[in-house]
Amino acid sequence: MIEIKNLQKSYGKKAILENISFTINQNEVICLTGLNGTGKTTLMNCIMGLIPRNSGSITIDGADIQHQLYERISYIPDSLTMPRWMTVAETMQFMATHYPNWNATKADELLAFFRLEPDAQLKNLSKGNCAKVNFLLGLSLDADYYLMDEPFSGIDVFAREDILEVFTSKFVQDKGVLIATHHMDEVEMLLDRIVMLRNGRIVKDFYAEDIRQTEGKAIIDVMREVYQP
Amino acid sequence: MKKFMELWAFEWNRAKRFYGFLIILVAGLQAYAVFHEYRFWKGSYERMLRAGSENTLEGYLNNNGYISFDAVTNNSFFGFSIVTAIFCLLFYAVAIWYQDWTGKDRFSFRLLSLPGSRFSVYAAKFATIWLMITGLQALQIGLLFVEELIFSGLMPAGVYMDLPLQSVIPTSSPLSLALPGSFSSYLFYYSAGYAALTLGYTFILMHLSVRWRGVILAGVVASVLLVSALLFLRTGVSSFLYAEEKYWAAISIHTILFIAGTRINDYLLKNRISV
Repeated sequence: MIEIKNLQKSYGKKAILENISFTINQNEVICLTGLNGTGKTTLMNCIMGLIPRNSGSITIDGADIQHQLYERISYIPDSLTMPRWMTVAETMQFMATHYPNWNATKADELLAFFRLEPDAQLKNLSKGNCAKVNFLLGLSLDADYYLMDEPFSGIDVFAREDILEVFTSKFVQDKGVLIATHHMDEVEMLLDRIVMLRNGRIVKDFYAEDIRQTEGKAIIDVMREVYQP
Repeated sequence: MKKFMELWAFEWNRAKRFYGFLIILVAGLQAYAVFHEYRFWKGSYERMLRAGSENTLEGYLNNNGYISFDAVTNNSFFGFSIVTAIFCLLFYAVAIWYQDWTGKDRFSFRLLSLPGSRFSVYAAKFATIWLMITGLQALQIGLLFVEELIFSGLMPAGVYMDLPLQSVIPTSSPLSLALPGSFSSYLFYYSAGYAALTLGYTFILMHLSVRWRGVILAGVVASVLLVSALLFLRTGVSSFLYAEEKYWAAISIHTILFIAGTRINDYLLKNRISV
Protein backbone atom coordinates (compact mmCIF):
# COMPACT_ATOMS: atom_id res chain seq x y z
CA MET A 1 0.00 0.00 0.00
CA ILE A 2 1.24 3.48 -0.85
CA GLU A 3 0.29 5.84 1.94
CA ILE A 4 0.40 9.60 1.53
CA LYS A 5 0.08 11.55 4.77
CA ASN A 6 -0.35 15.31 5.24
CA LEU A 7 1.47 16.17 2.03
CA GLN A 8 2.11 19.87 1.50
CA LYS A 9 3.62 21.52 -1.53
CA SER A 10 3.91 25.19 -2.30
CA TYR A 11 5.76 27.38 -4.78
CA GLY A 12 6.83 30.46 -2.86
CA LYS A 13 3.80 31.58 -0.92
CA LYS A 14 1.35 29.83 -3.23
CA ALA A 15 0.11 26.54 -1.80
CA ILE A 16 -0.38 23.91 -4.53
CA LEU A 17 -1.17 20.90 -2.34
CA GLU A 18 -2.50 21.19 1.20
CA ASN A 19 -2.76 18.41 3.72
CA ILE A 20 -3.17 15.61 1.18
CA SER A 21 -3.73 12.20 2.76
CA PHE A 22 -4.90 9.05 0.99
CA THR A 23 -3.80 5.52 0.22
CA ILE A 24 -3.26 3.58 -2.99
CA ASN A 25 -4.10 -0.06 -2.46
CA GLN A 26 -3.20 -2.99 -4.65
CA ASN A 27 -6.11 -4.40 -6.64
CA GLU A 28 -7.62 -0.94 -6.96
CA VAL A 29 -7.96 1.46 -9.86
CA ILE A 30 -8.15 4.96 -8.43
CA CYS A 31 -8.85 8.12 -10.33
CA LEU A 32 -7.32 11.34 -9.10
CA THR A 33 -9.49 13.98 -10.62
CA GLY A 34 -10.06 17.70 -10.53
CA LEU A 35 -10.26 20.66 -12.83
CA ASN A 36 -7.17 21.98 -14.63
CA GLY A 37 -4.56 23.36 -12.24
CA THR A 38 -5.80 21.62 -9.10
CA GLY A 39 -2.46 19.90 -8.45
CA LYS A 40 -2.94 16.41 -9.95
CA THR A 41 0.37 16.35 -11.81
CA THR A 42 2.16 18.01 -8.89
CA LEU A 43 0.89 15.26 -6.61
CA MET A 44 2.06 12.54 -9.02
CA ASN A 45 5.47 14.20 -9.29
CA CYS A 46 5.71 14.48 -5.49
CA ILE A 47 4.99 10.76 -5.10
CA MET A 48 7.80 9.97 -7.56
CA GLY A 49 10.19 12.46 -5.91
CA LEU A 50 10.39 14.42 -9.15
CA ILE A 51 9.70 17.62 -7.25
CA PRO A 52 10.52 18.10 -3.58
CA ARG A 53 7.62 18.32 -1.13
CA ASN A 54 7.49 20.80 1.72
CA SER A 55 6.24 18.36 4.33
CA GLY A 56 4.33 15.13 4.78
CA SER A 57 5.30 11.53 4.26
CA ILE A 58 4.95 8.96 1.49
CA THR A 59 5.50 5.30 2.33
CA ILE A 60 5.27 1.96 0.55
CA ASP A 61 4.20 -0.82 2.89
CA GLY A 62 5.40 1.28 5.80
CA ALA A 63 8.84 2.11 4.38
CA ASP A 64 9.72 5.68 3.37
CA ILE A 65 9.67 5.99 -0.39
CA GLN A 66 13.24 6.21 -1.64
CA HIS A 67 14.86 5.98 -5.03
CA GLN A 68 15.76 2.37 -4.35
CA LEU A 69 12.04 1.52 -4.14
CA TYR A 70 11.16 3.03 -7.51
CA GLU A 71 11.15 -0.34 -9.19
CA ARG A 72 7.93 -1.08 -7.28
CA ILE A 73 6.24 1.88 -8.95
CA SER A 74 5.90 2.49 -12.65
CA TYR A 75 5.18 6.10 -13.57
CA ILE A 76 3.63 6.85 -16.94
CA PRO A 77 3.78 10.63 -17.40
CA ASP A 78 1.59 12.56 -19.82
CA SER A 79 4.25 12.57 -22.54
CA LEU A 80 6.85 10.14 -23.79
CA THR A 81 9.93 11.04 -21.77
CA MET A 82 12.53 9.49 -24.01
CA PRO A 83 14.95 11.22 -26.39
CA ARG A 84 13.27 11.56 -29.79
CA TRP A 85 16.24 10.19 -31.75
CA MET A 86 15.69 6.75 -30.23
CA THR A 87 13.75 4.00 -31.94
CA VAL A 88 10.99 2.04 -30.19
CA ALA A 89 13.36 -0.93 -29.86
CA GLU A 90 16.07 1.30 -28.37
CA THR A 91 13.69 2.67 -25.73
CA MET A 92 12.79 -0.92 -24.82
CA GLN A 93 16.48 -1.77 -24.64
CA PHE A 94 17.08 1.24 -22.39
CA MET A 95 14.34 0.08 -20.02
CA ALA A 96 15.61 -3.51 -20.07
CA THR A 97 19.09 -2.28 -19.17
CA HIS A 98 18.08 0.05 -16.36
CA TYR A 99 15.12 -1.73 -14.73
CA PRO A 100 15.71 -5.09 -13.09
CA ASN A 101 11.94 -5.70 -13.21
CA TRP A 102 11.60 -5.22 -16.98
CA ASN A 103 9.45 -7.99 -18.37
CA ALA A 104 10.57 -8.64 -21.95
CA THR A 105 7.75 -11.09 -22.68
CA LYS A 106 5.13 -8.58 -21.59
CA ALA A 107 6.90 -5.88 -23.64
CA ASP A 108 6.82 -8.02 -26.79
CA GLU A 109 3.16 -8.82 -26.20
CA LEU A 110 2.32 -5.13 -25.84
CA LEU A 111 4.40 -4.27 -28.91
CA ALA A 112 2.29 -6.68 -30.93
CA PHE A 113 -0.93 -5.62 -29.22
CA PHE A 114 -0.34 -1.94 -30.05
CA ARG A 115 0.91 -2.80 -33.57
CA LEU A 116 4.08 -0.73 -33.13
CA GLU A 117 7.11 -0.92 -35.40
CA PRO A 118 10.27 -1.59 -33.34
CA ASP A 119 12.48 0.25 -35.84
CA ALA A 120 10.37 3.38 -35.97
CA GLN A 121 12.05 6.48 -34.56
CA LEU A 122 10.06 8.26 -31.85
CA LYS A 123 10.27 11.56 -33.72
CA ASN A 124 8.36 10.02 -36.61
CA LEU A 125 5.53 8.58 -34.51
CA SER A 126 2.07 10.09 -34.25
CA LYS A 127 0.85 11.36 -30.89
CA GLY A 128 -1.31 8.27 -30.44
CA ASN A 129 1.58 5.93 -31.14
CA CYS A 130 3.81 7.90 -28.75
CA ALA A 131 1.14 7.38 -26.07
CA LYS A 132 1.16 3.66 -26.88
CA VAL A 133 4.96 3.49 -26.55
CA ASN A 134 4.64 5.35 -23.27
CA PHE A 135 2.19 2.71 -22.06
CA LEU A 136 4.32 -0.11 -23.36
CA LEU A 137 7.37 1.15 -21.45
CA GLY A 138 5.42 1.73 -18.26
CA LEU A 139 3.33 -1.44 -18.24
CA SER A 140 6.19 -3.76 -19.16
CA LEU A 141 7.69 -3.21 -15.74
CA ASP A 142 6.65 -5.79 -13.19
CA ALA A 143 5.72 -3.13 -10.68
CA ASP A 144 3.18 -3.25 -7.87
CA TYR A 145 1.77 0.19 -8.61
CA TYR A 146 1.19 2.12 -11.81
CA LEU A 147 0.81 5.89 -11.76
CA MET A 148 -0.58 7.42 -14.96
CA ASP A 149 -0.84 11.11 -15.63
CA GLU A 150 -3.47 12.13 -18.22
CA PRO A 151 -3.07 8.89 -20.16
CA PHE A 152 -5.54 9.86 -22.89
CA SER A 153 -4.62 13.48 -23.40
CA GLY A 154 -4.70 14.48 -27.06
CA ILE A 155 -4.91 11.02 -28.60
CA ASP A 156 -7.44 9.80 -31.11
CA VAL A 157 -10.38 7.51 -30.36
CA PHE A 158 -8.77 4.36 -31.80
CA ALA A 159 -5.55 4.74 -29.83
CA ARG A 160 -7.71 5.39 -26.76
CA GLU A 161 -9.67 2.20 -27.36
CA ASP A 162 -6.44 0.21 -27.63
CA ILE A 163 -5.12 1.64 -24.40
CA LEU A 164 -8.42 1.15 -22.58
CA GLU A 165 -8.37 -2.47 -23.63
CA VAL A 166 -5.15 -2.88 -21.70
CA PHE A 167 -6.96 -1.95 -18.48
CA THR A 168 -9.44 -4.75 -18.93
CA SER A 169 -6.70 -7.25 -19.73
CA LYS A 170 -4.19 -9.15 -17.62
CA PHE A 171 -1.57 -6.41 -17.85
CA VAL A 172 -2.75 -4.49 -14.79
CA GLN A 173 -4.39 -7.34 -12.94
CA ASP A 174 -3.87 -7.30 -9.14
CA LYS A 175 -2.04 -3.99 -9.34
CA GLY A 176 -2.62 -0.64 -7.69
CA VAL A 177 -3.38 1.92 -10.38
CA LEU A 178 -3.64 5.68 -9.91
CA ILE A 179 -4.88 7.60 -12.95
CA ALA A 180 -4.78 11.40 -12.87
CA THR A 181 -7.27 12.87 -15.34
CA HIS A 182 -10.00 15.42 -15.64
CA HIS A 183 -11.63 13.42 -18.47
CA MET A 184 -13.67 11.25 -16.11
CA ASP A 185 -15.98 10.04 -18.89
CA GLU A 186 -13.08 8.22 -20.59
CA VAL A 187 -12.17 6.06 -17.60
CA GLU A 188 -15.35 5.90 -15.55
CA MET A 189 -16.06 2.23 -16.29
CA LEU A 190 -12.59 1.18 -15.07
CA LEU A 191 -12.61 2.86 -11.71
CA ASP A 192 -12.96 1.45 -8.24
CA ARG A 193 -12.33 4.63 -6.33
CA ILE A 194 -12.28 8.37 -7.00
CA VAL A 195 -10.23 11.02 -5.20
CA MET A 196 -11.37 14.55 -6.02
CA LEU A 197 -9.04 17.50 -5.70
CA ARG A 198 -10.03 21.14 -5.58
CA ASN A 199 -7.58 23.99 -5.05
CA GLY A 200 -4.93 21.56 -3.85
CA ARG A 201 -7.12 19.83 -1.26
CA ILE A 202 -8.95 16.51 -1.28
CA VAL A 203 -12.65 17.33 -1.22
CA LYS A 204 -14.05 13.84 -1.76
CA ASP A 205 -12.66 10.30 -1.64
CA PHE A 206 -15.21 7.56 -2.39
CA TYR A 207 -15.83 4.19 -3.99
CA ALA A 208 -17.68 4.34 -7.31
CA GLU A 209 -19.82 1.33 -6.46
CA ASP A 210 -20.97 2.87 -3.15
CA ILE A 211 -22.11 6.08 -4.83
CA ARG A 212 -23.95 4.15 -7.53
CA GLN A 213 -25.68 1.83 -5.07
CA THR A 214 -26.37 4.06 -2.09
CA GLU A 215 -27.05 7.35 -3.85
CA GLY A 216 -27.92 6.10 -7.32
CA LYS A 217 -25.60 8.63 -8.93
CA ALA A 218 -23.08 8.45 -11.70
CA ILE A 219 -19.58 9.75 -10.97
CA ILE A 220 -20.10 12.63 -13.36
CA ASP A 221 -23.06 13.75 -11.18
CA VAL A 222 -20.81 13.82 -8.13
CA MET A 223 -18.29 15.82 -10.12
CA ARG A 224 -20.93 18.37 -11.00
CA GLU A 225 -21.87 18.71 -7.33
CA VAL A 226 -18.26 19.23 -6.35
CA TYR A 227 -17.02 21.43 -9.16
CA GLN A 228 -20.20 23.25 -10.21
CA PRO A 229 -22.07 23.76 -6.93
CA MET B 1 28.15 0.91 -9.88
CA LYS B 2 26.24 -1.07 -12.51
CA LYS B 3 23.72 1.74 -12.93
CA PHE B 4 26.55 4.26 -13.29
CA MET B 5 28.33 2.17 -15.94
CA GLU B 6 25.10 1.70 -17.90
CA LEU B 7 24.22 5.37 -17.76
CA TRP B 8 27.78 6.32 -18.69
CA ALA B 9 27.57 4.07 -21.73
CA PHE B 10 24.24 5.69 -22.62
CA GLU B 11 25.59 9.24 -22.22
CA TRP B 12 28.69 8.36 -24.20
CA ASN B 13 26.58 6.87 -26.96
CA ARG B 14 24.56 10.08 -27.05
CA ALA B 15 27.70 12.28 -27.19
CA LYS B 16 29.31 10.22 -29.97
CA ARG B 17 28.08 12.30 -32.91
CA PHE B 18 29.01 15.62 -31.33
CA TYR B 19 32.37 14.25 -30.28
CA GLY B 20 33.08 12.83 -33.72
CA PHE B 21 32.33 16.21 -35.25
CA LEU B 22 34.67 17.86 -32.73
CA ILE B 23 37.50 15.43 -33.50
CA ILE B 24 37.13 16.02 -37.24
CA LEU B 25 37.08 19.80 -36.69
CA VAL B 26 40.22 19.77 -34.51
CA ALA B 27 42.14 17.39 -36.79
CA GLY B 28 41.02 19.33 -39.88
CA LEU B 29 42.07 22.72 -38.52
CA GLN B 30 45.42 21.38 -37.38
CA ALA B 31 46.07 19.67 -40.70
CA TYR B 32 45.27 22.95 -42.40
CA ALA B 33 47.72 24.70 -40.03
CA VAL B 34 50.50 22.32 -41.17
CA PHE B 35 49.93 23.04 -44.88
CA HIS B 36 49.30 26.72 -44.26
CA GLU B 37 52.65 27.04 -42.51
CA TYR B 38 54.42 25.10 -45.27
CA ARG B 39 52.85 27.26 -47.99
CA PHE B 40 53.78 30.38 -46.05
CA TRP B 41 57.41 29.26 -45.87
CA LYS B 42 57.46 28.23 -49.53
CA GLY B 43 55.98 31.56 -50.60
CA SER B 44 58.54 33.60 -48.67
CA TYR B 45 61.40 31.43 -49.98
CA GLU B 46 60.26 31.78 -53.58
CA ARG B 47 59.86 35.53 -53.16
CA MET B 48 63.44 35.71 -51.94
CA LEU B 49 64.63 33.70 -54.94
CA ARG B 50 62.75 35.98 -57.32
CA ALA B 51 64.24 39.06 -55.68
CA GLY B 52 67.65 37.54 -56.48
CA SER B 53 69.49 39.10 -53.56
CA GLU B 54 70.48 35.92 -51.73
CA ASN B 55 69.31 33.15 -54.00
CA THR B 56 70.66 30.22 -52.00
CA LEU B 57 69.20 28.23 -49.17
CA GLU B 58 72.15 29.30 -47.06
CA GLY B 59 71.34 32.92 -47.71
CA TYR B 60 67.78 32.32 -46.71
CA LEU B 61 68.85 30.63 -43.48
CA ASN B 62 71.20 33.52 -42.67
CA ASN B 63 68.27 35.93 -42.91
CA ASN B 64 65.40 33.86 -41.53
CA GLY B 65 66.88 31.03 -39.49
CA TYR B 66 65.72 27.42 -39.37
CA ILE B 67 62.08 26.39 -39.40
CA SER B 68 60.90 24.04 -36.67
CA PHE B 69 57.61 22.47 -35.67
CA ASP B 70 56.80 25.36 -33.29
CA ALA B 71 55.90 27.37 -36.41
CA VAL B 72 52.91 25.02 -36.79
CA THR B 73 51.87 25.02 -33.13
CA ASN B 74 51.96 28.84 -33.16
CA ASN B 75 49.90 29.03 -36.33
CA SER B 76 46.58 30.76 -35.65
CA PHE B 77 44.57 27.85 -37.12
CA PHE B 78 46.30 25.48 -34.70
CA GLY B 79 45.55 27.71 -31.71
CA PHE B 80 42.00 28.23 -32.96
CA SER B 81 41.43 24.45 -33.10
CA ILE B 82 42.29 24.09 -29.39
CA VAL B 83 40.29 27.14 -28.30
CA THR B 84 37.31 25.87 -30.36
CA ALA B 85 37.59 22.43 -28.72
CA ILE B 86 37.61 24.03 -25.25
CA PHE B 87 34.50 26.11 -26.05
CA CYS B 88 32.73 23.10 -27.59
CA LEU B 89 33.46 21.04 -24.48
CA LEU B 90 32.20 23.85 -22.25
CA PHE B 91 29.06 24.03 -24.35
CA TYR B 92 28.48 20.29 -24.15
CA ALA B 93 29.21 20.24 -20.39
CA VAL B 94 26.21 22.57 -19.96
CA ALA B 95 24.07 21.00 -22.70
CA ILE B 96 24.46 17.51 -21.20
CA TRP B 97 22.10 18.69 -18.40
CA TYR B 98 19.79 21.07 -20.17
CA GLN B 99 19.06 18.70 -23.06
CA ASP B 100 17.28 16.50 -20.49
CA TRP B 101 15.63 19.30 -18.55
CA THR B 102 14.19 21.41 -21.38
CA GLY B 103 11.60 20.87 -24.06
CA LYS B 104 8.31 19.05 -23.98
CA ASP B 105 9.32 15.42 -23.57
CA ARG B 106 11.80 15.74 -20.78
CA PHE B 107 14.10 12.78 -20.34
CA SER B 108 14.75 14.05 -16.80
CA PHE B 109 11.46 12.33 -15.77
CA ARG B 110 12.92 8.99 -16.74
CA LEU B 111 16.42 9.65 -15.39
CA LEU B 112 15.14 10.66 -11.97
CA SER B 113 12.63 7.78 -11.82
CA LEU B 114 15.26 5.09 -12.40
CA PRO B 115 15.65 2.73 -9.47
CA GLY B 116 18.86 3.12 -7.47
CA SER B 117 20.99 6.06 -6.50
CA ARG B 118 20.47 9.30 -8.41
CA PHE B 119 24.15 10.10 -7.99
CA SER B 120 24.79 7.73 -10.89
CA VAL B 121 23.03 10.22 -13.17
CA TYR B 122 25.48 12.93 -12.07
CA ALA B 123 28.52 10.66 -12.15
CA ALA B 124 27.66 9.44 -15.66
CA LYS B 125 27.42 12.98 -17.01
CA PHE B 126 30.62 14.05 -15.26
CA ALA B 127 32.50 10.96 -16.44
CA THR B 128 31.35 11.58 -20.01
CA ILE B 129 32.86 15.08 -19.96
CA TRP B 130 36.02 13.69 -18.35
CA LEU B 131 36.30 11.06 -21.06
CA MET B 132 35.78 13.67 -23.77
CA ILE B 133 38.57 15.83 -22.32
CA THR B 134 40.95 12.92 -21.83
CA GLY B 135 40.15 11.58 -25.29
CA LEU B 136 40.94 14.93 -26.88
CA GLN B 137 44.24 15.09 -24.99
CA ALA B 138 45.19 11.64 -26.24
CA LEU B 139 44.14 12.67 -29.74
CA GLN B 140 46.26 15.83 -29.48
CA ILE B 141 49.36 13.83 -28.53
CA GLY B 142 48.80 11.52 -31.47
CA LEU B 143 48.13 14.42 -33.83
CA LEU B 144 51.34 16.18 -32.76
CA PHE B 145 53.44 13.18 -33.81
CA VAL B 146 51.65 12.83 -37.15
CA GLU B 147 51.72 16.57 -37.88
CA GLU B 148 55.42 16.75 -37.04
CA LEU B 149 56.08 13.83 -39.37
CA ILE B 150 54.15 15.48 -42.21
CA PHE B 151 55.66 18.93 -41.68
CA SER B 152 59.22 17.62 -41.49
CA GLY B 153 58.53 15.59 -44.66
CA LEU B 154 57.27 18.65 -46.52
CA MET B 155 60.15 20.95 -45.54
CA PRO B 156 63.59 20.65 -47.22
CA ALA B 157 66.02 18.80 -44.97
CA GLY B 158 68.44 21.70 -44.68
CA VAL B 159 65.80 24.15 -43.50
CA TYR B 160 63.96 22.04 -40.95
CA MET B 161 65.29 21.83 -37.45
CA ASP B 162 64.09 18.88 -35.41
CA LEU B 163 62.97 19.91 -31.92
CA PRO B 164 61.66 17.56 -29.25
CA LEU B 165 57.91 17.94 -28.70
CA GLN B 166 58.50 18.68 -24.99
CA SER B 167 60.24 21.92 -25.97
CA VAL B 168 57.68 22.77 -28.69
CA ILE B 169 54.60 22.53 -26.43
CA PRO B 170 55.45 25.42 -24.04
CA THR B 171 55.88 27.84 -26.98
CA SER B 172 52.12 27.75 -27.72
CA SER B 173 49.79 28.95 -24.95
CA PRO B 174 46.66 27.04 -26.08
CA LEU B 175 48.69 23.85 -26.56
CA SER B 176 50.42 24.15 -23.19
CA LEU B 177 46.99 24.59 -21.62
CA ALA B 178 45.71 21.41 -23.28
CA LEU B 179 48.91 19.47 -22.63
CA PRO B 180 50.79 20.96 -19.67
CA GLY B 181 54.54 20.39 -19.92
CA SER B 182 55.04 18.74 -16.53
CA PHE B 183 53.06 16.54 -14.16
CA SER B 184 52.93 19.32 -11.54
CA SER B 185 51.43 21.79 -14.06
CA TYR B 186 49.05 19.08 -15.25
CA LEU B 187 47.88 18.47 -11.68
CA PHE B 188 47.52 22.20 -11.04
CA TYR B 189 45.55 23.07 -14.19
CA TYR B 190 43.39 19.98 -14.31
CA SER B 191 42.54 19.89 -10.60
CA ALA B 192 41.47 23.54 -11.01
CA GLY B 193 39.52 22.62 -14.16
CA TYR B 194 37.63 19.70 -12.63
CA ALA B 195 36.90 21.71 -9.46
CA ALA B 196 35.51 24.47 -11.71
CA LEU B 197 33.44 21.90 -13.63
CA THR B 198 32.03 20.53 -10.35
CA LEU B 199 31.12 24.02 -9.15
CA GLY B 200 29.65 24.76 -12.58
CA TYR B 201 27.44 21.72 -12.09
CA THR B 202 26.47 23.04 -8.65
CA PHE B 203 25.24 26.20 -10.43
CA ILE B 204 23.28 24.15 -12.92
CA LEU B 205 21.75 21.87 -10.28
CA MET B 206 20.88 24.87 -8.11
CA HIS B 207 19.15 26.35 -11.15
CA LEU B 208 17.30 23.11 -11.84
CA SER B 209 16.34 22.86 -8.15
CA VAL B 210 15.32 26.33 -7.08
CA ARG B 211 15.61 28.22 -10.39
CA TRP B 212 17.20 31.70 -10.39
CA ARG B 213 17.21 32.01 -6.60
CA GLY B 214 19.56 29.03 -6.63
CA VAL B 215 21.88 30.57 -9.22
CA ILE B 216 22.10 33.80 -7.20
CA LEU B 217 22.81 31.88 -4.00
CA ALA B 218 25.42 29.70 -5.73
CA GLY B 219 26.96 32.83 -7.27
CA VAL B 220 27.32 34.47 -3.87
CA VAL B 221 28.89 31.34 -2.36
CA ALA B 222 31.25 30.91 -5.35
CA SER B 223 32.32 34.58 -5.16
CA VAL B 224 33.09 34.26 -1.45
CA LEU B 225 35.10 31.09 -2.11
CA LEU B 226 36.99 32.67 -5.00
CA VAL B 227 37.83 35.86 -3.10
CA SER B 228 38.95 33.82 -0.07
CA ALA B 229 41.18 31.66 -2.27
CA LEU B 230 42.69 34.71 -3.98
CA LEU B 231 43.29 36.47 -0.68
CA PHE B 232 44.93 33.33 0.65
CA LEU B 233 47.19 32.92 -2.35
CA ARG B 234 48.10 36.58 -2.96
CA THR B 235 48.29 38.12 0.46
CA GLY B 236 48.46 37.48 4.18
CA VAL B 237 49.19 33.94 5.22
CA SER B 238 50.54 32.83 1.86
CA SER B 239 53.34 35.43 1.93
CA PHE B 240 54.97 33.25 4.60
CA LEU B 241 54.84 30.22 2.34
CA TYR B 242 57.41 28.91 -0.12
CA ALA B 243 56.37 28.50 -3.73
CA GLU B 244 56.02 24.74 -3.30
CA GLU B 245 53.82 25.18 -0.24
CA LYS B 246 51.63 27.64 -2.15
CA TYR B 247 51.35 25.10 -4.93
CA TRP B 248 50.15 22.37 -2.57
CA ALA B 249 47.83 24.83 -0.84
CA ALA B 250 46.25 25.54 -4.23
CA ILE B 251 45.94 21.80 -5.00
CA SER B 252 44.32 21.30 -1.58
CA ILE B 253 41.82 24.10 -2.27
CA HIS B 254 40.96 22.54 -5.64
CA THR B 255 40.45 19.16 -3.97
CA ILE B 256 38.28 20.63 -1.20
CA LEU B 257 36.15 22.51 -3.76
CA PHE B 258 35.81 19.35 -5.86
CA ILE B 259 34.71 17.21 -2.90
CA ALA B 260 32.42 19.88 -1.41
CA GLY B 261 30.86 20.57 -4.82
CA THR B 262 30.30 16.86 -5.45
CA ARG B 263 28.58 16.42 -2.08
CA ILE B 264 26.34 19.43 -2.64
CA ASN B 265 25.47 18.12 -6.10
CA ASP B 266 24.61 14.72 -4.62
CA TYR B 267 22.36 16.37 -2.03
CA LEU B 268 20.63 18.52 -4.65
CA LEU B 269 19.93 15.51 -6.87
CA LYS B 270 18.57 13.47 -3.99
CA ASN B 271 16.46 16.08 -2.27
CA ARG B 272 15.96 19.31 -4.19
CA ILE B 273 15.92 18.72 -7.93
CA SER B 274 12.75 19.33 -9.96
CA VAL B 275 11.80 18.07 -13.39
